[in-house]
Amino acid sequence: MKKLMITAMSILSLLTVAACGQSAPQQSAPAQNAPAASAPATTKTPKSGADQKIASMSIHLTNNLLALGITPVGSVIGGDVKAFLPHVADRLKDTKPLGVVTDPDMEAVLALKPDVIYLDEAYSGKDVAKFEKIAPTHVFNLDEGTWRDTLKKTGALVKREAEAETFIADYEEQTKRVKGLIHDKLGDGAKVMAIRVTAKELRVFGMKRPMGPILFEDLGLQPANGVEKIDKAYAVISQEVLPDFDADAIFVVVNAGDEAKKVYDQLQANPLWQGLTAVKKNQIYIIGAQPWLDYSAIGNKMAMDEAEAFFKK
Amino acid sequence: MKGTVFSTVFLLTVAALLMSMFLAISYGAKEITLSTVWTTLINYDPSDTSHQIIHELRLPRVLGAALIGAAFAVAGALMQGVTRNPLADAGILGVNAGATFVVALSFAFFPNLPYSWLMVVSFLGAVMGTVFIFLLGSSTPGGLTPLRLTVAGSVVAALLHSLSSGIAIYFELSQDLAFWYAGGLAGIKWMHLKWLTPVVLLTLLWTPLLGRSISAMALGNDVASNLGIKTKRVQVIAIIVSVILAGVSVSAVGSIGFVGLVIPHMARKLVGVDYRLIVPLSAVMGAVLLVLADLGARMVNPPKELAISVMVAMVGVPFFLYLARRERGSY
Repeated sequence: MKKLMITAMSILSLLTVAACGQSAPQQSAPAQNAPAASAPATTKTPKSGADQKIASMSIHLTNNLLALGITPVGSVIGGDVKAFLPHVADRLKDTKPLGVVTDPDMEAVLALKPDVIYLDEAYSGKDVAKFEKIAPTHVFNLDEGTWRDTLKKTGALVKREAEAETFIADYEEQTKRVKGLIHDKLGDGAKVMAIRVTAKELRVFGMKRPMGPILFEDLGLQPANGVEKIDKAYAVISQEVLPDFDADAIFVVVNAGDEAKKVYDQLQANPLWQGLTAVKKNQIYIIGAQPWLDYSAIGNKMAMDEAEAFFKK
Repeated sequence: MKGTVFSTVFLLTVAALLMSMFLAISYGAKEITLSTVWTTLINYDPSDTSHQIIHELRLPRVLGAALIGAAFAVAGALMQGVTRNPLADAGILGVNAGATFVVALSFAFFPNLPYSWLMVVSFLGAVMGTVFIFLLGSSTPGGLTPLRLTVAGSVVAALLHSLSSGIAIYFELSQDLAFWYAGGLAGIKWMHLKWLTPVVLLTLLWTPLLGRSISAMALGNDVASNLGIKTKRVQVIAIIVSVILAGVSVSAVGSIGFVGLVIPHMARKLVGVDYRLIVPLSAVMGAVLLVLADLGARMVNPPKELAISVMVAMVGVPFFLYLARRERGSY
């Protein structure tokens, strides 16, 4: 009798599990074509333009808004620093933190009652339906074009196209100046690379965002041997192959935290590092993870400010 | 007869150690020919990049693996002997728990402590964990029996681990602490070997003197006492030696379990119950296991590295099972 009960119970629970399994794809089905559906959603927006209450679910979109002089009412925070990114924190004092992008605080979003929500497709693409229940939603794909395209798109949404154009024009102007400064310092045909030292591994930045576009497109620098083959954000390498890149200048991001600093200290003490061309030429530039890795209008602009300060000396 | 078996096994193990060390030094992201590896070892040229790679990146790491493998294995062998507990290793002395607890404290209250100090602090933590366990075990009437030591060890380790977790959660240090705990040999450089080598080797030199007494103690404290062995003294010395060996190892590479547990068993299967033989053989076999495990951890998914403790288990368990099945003897 008892056995029968157990069997019956397990069949029941199996059925429940199976039912859950079925319902899941049904929920996610509308999410897949959501980007298309979100376009007409703007018509429902009560307010439009710059006075909208915007909830930004991407730190990069937040920083694009800041570049246009708009402060979102709520924004996700940086996953690593567990706070608003340090280079823009002072401009987000009145902005409500909405959790980390990979685990957004939906209750906080709900409580904000935003007029519109901005999403990054790479992170929130699957959850568009959830956000649409709260407010009309715009999905951005940050890999479409450069940050300039995203900024222009944002500018059109908040009716600040002119500001977007001015910002981009200023950036191009500054880039030209910095390009000249770098050329004066490094000389003709200098090959550069950017690396990141973390506690666990050594990374070389590739041709894709965040570092590729600013170094190799905007500033027109020549990638060090092998960097051009890294067709993604970064590749993990062994310290052993560092000399093979034969870079004339190296931009170094050292992660926050004692372990990463320790790894970098050890690296610097290593004769292998001391033998690198860039080290011998004294062309190692320590750059901050922020703003350099913030692929947004403000991030790149502030990175360019830093570069200008480096190479002016 | 027994002497010949031991000599053969020992020499074969030493040969295996030398071979695996050479193999480990030859393997890496940068392709370097075996002849270059050989030239580096006998005639190091500090201006040659390949020589630098071997001398600065690979050699200290492999030497460190061998030293630490030997240290963990001998610590485990001694603890299994004096406690007559086949599941003992330096972990029951609270070495890992003590070190982790103190590291958690220093992360929380002295976040800018230089790395070399962190190692000293974690070693002191390991020693404090052991002293605490020893005092707790001895304070009960009847003194420190192997069973009491084991129970006190488990209780104190559990307590210290939960306190460390509490600190880590409260101060949001879980990630840093987990990273320290997982450790690994990648951070071993010549500067570490400079003090690690003398400490481990000098301590290892002591251990053969303990062999005879521990062999007797493995038969039971009464038997050992009747043979005229000062069991209490041997116990204390074995604990001191174990805590030094395991403590410096943990402070250098974090917690690498399993070496201390499994290697003494393997040694016992090969050469019998005489600790005068088990201890030196454990040292060499532990070195082989850790050198190979570290090589494996580097080879699985280069240039990323697998956690060394995962690899130790993957290399060690199959061989252990094979030995255990082949010969279901006693220890």
